[in-house]
Amino acid sequence: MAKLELKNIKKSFGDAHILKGIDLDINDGEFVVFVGPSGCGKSTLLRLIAGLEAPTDGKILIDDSDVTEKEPIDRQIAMVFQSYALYPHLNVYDNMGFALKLAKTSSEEIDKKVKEAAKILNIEHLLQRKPKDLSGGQRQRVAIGRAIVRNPKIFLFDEPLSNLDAALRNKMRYEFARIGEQLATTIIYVTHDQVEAMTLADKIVVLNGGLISQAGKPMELYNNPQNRFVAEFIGNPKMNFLDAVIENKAQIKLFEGQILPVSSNGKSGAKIEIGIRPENIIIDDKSLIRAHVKFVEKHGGVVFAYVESANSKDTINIQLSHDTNIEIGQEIGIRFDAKNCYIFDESGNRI
Amino acid sequence: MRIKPQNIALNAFIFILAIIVAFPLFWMLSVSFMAAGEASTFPPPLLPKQTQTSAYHELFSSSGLWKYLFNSIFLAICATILSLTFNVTAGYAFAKLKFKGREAMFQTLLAAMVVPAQVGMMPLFLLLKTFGLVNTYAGALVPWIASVFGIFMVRQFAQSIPDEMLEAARMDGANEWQIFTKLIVPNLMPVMVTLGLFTFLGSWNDFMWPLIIMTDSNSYTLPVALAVLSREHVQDSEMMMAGAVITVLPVLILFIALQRFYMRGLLASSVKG
Repeated sequence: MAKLELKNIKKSFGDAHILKGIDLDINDGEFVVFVGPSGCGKSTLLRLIAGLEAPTDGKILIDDSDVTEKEPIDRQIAMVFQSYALYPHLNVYDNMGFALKLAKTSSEEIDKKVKEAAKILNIEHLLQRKPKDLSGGQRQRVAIGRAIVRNPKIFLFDEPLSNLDAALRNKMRYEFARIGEQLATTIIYVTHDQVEAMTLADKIVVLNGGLISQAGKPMELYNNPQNRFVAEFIGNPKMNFLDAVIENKAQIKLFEGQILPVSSNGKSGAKIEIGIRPENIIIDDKSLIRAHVKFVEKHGGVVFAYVESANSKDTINIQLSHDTNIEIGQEIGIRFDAKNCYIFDESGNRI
Repeated sequence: MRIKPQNIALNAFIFILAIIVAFPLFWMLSVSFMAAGEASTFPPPLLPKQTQTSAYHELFSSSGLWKYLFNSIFLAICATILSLTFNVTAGYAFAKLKFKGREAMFQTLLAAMVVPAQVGMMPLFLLLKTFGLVNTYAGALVPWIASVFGIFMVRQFAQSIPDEMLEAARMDGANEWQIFTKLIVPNLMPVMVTLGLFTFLGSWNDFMWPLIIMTDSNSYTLPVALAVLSREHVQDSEMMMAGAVITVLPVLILFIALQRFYMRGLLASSVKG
């Protein structure tokens, strides 16, 4: 277990500035998920922490000691790669024992540690097999096993589930949560999938364009996004965004002229966007906002209706209970739950 | 399943080609077991009247063939070891290690590939003469130390090794030498077999360079010795054929034994990269 501090980390490759100043504290034993779209710098940040790349500027501290210049092995960090990166010519046992063998650990000790890790991961029966004879999920476990046997201070996972099919991904997500609890060590996990982030993390770090957009507990990000990017990124299905104008301190005017009692501290007349999650839109036939149902998605337990209003620029997604009777083409009235509206200014900041 | 007529024709054609290719080898073997002068009768016999090994006895007892055989084997083995050592390390470095001028250096090497080997022989000979390496094993081995073709072949194959595997090894605490010996070499095995075989065959069959650099008859390799012998014993077909069998057979066996790996290495380096 260890705590990790990143101080003003910057990384450029030539003219491309990938990371533009990252400050982050990760506590002992925390499960932290870096999430963000492709190219946001999350994998680069992970590689800097691992020691596979050197930062252009900034410091990395593990347990208060500066490791910025240290080799990967001296940081006591283990990493699980997206492609698993198993050694194809070695069997599972030797793959897992490779690091220990290099560290000149006695063969009894290696045997003990490999078997312990294999037990945690339920791969005891696979120890003599070569990587090519394993399924994707099994390879993933071996890659995790290779990290576990080293007993590192910090585990790094680089999009570990992205190569698996949907069903296996769900299963492995649950496995990760279990392994995370069992290891009780600091884990940093990179993904572009916000569902993985929400379900696994103690703390989510949302990255965008080389900067931290927001960091916090999953529900904190969900309930209290600080900017439009985080509001849109966290939550499935996505938050709806509608154009509006600030009427006064206590009211905003929607695209069709309806007044909504939402308070804000922006200037009157300022153009804004309001964000509202699908579950906070209510069907109300008395409402003045009329919309046509364009598409209905029945998920079983819930139903999502995609509706269009005369002046809304995008389709609005509404979450409904499974017994709602709604048909494509139907005209309905919708009402926004004013308590759960988020207001963003033109530069995307929450106001 | 019906067999198509064009398939029958194709197979027949290949069968005939195979016979055309195999026939001289077969007759070489056959003549080597004939009695002295038997092959020169008319019409030439296909098989020996009575199988005998006198040509081999004479070859080994009077012509000192053991010596040439040793020279050939020794040089081919050394050439193979040298070529594998230098080509594999260089090819891996060009494929996977990042250093300044890597691409430029590799392009220059590739450009050198268009220069025929024969053009370099004279300057190389003069250079080795100043080093005092004429008529030595070392001098005979110089052209085999590294080749652009070998480096290129290994590089193409090594490029297919994922970077993440090397990074995983670095995370596991392996230094560059350990990565090379414990991970890269085992994974380069197919291309190493191919390259080793190429070099062994190349050195074994090489005629021109040993002829130039080896001035003393004691240092001759089999092909050179055989050429010299054929001038002396121009009438003695049986003995010449026995010499040819001894020259061809070891490499033929080696080739057939390693054919499986050889094809894998050759195909891999042709499709990737």
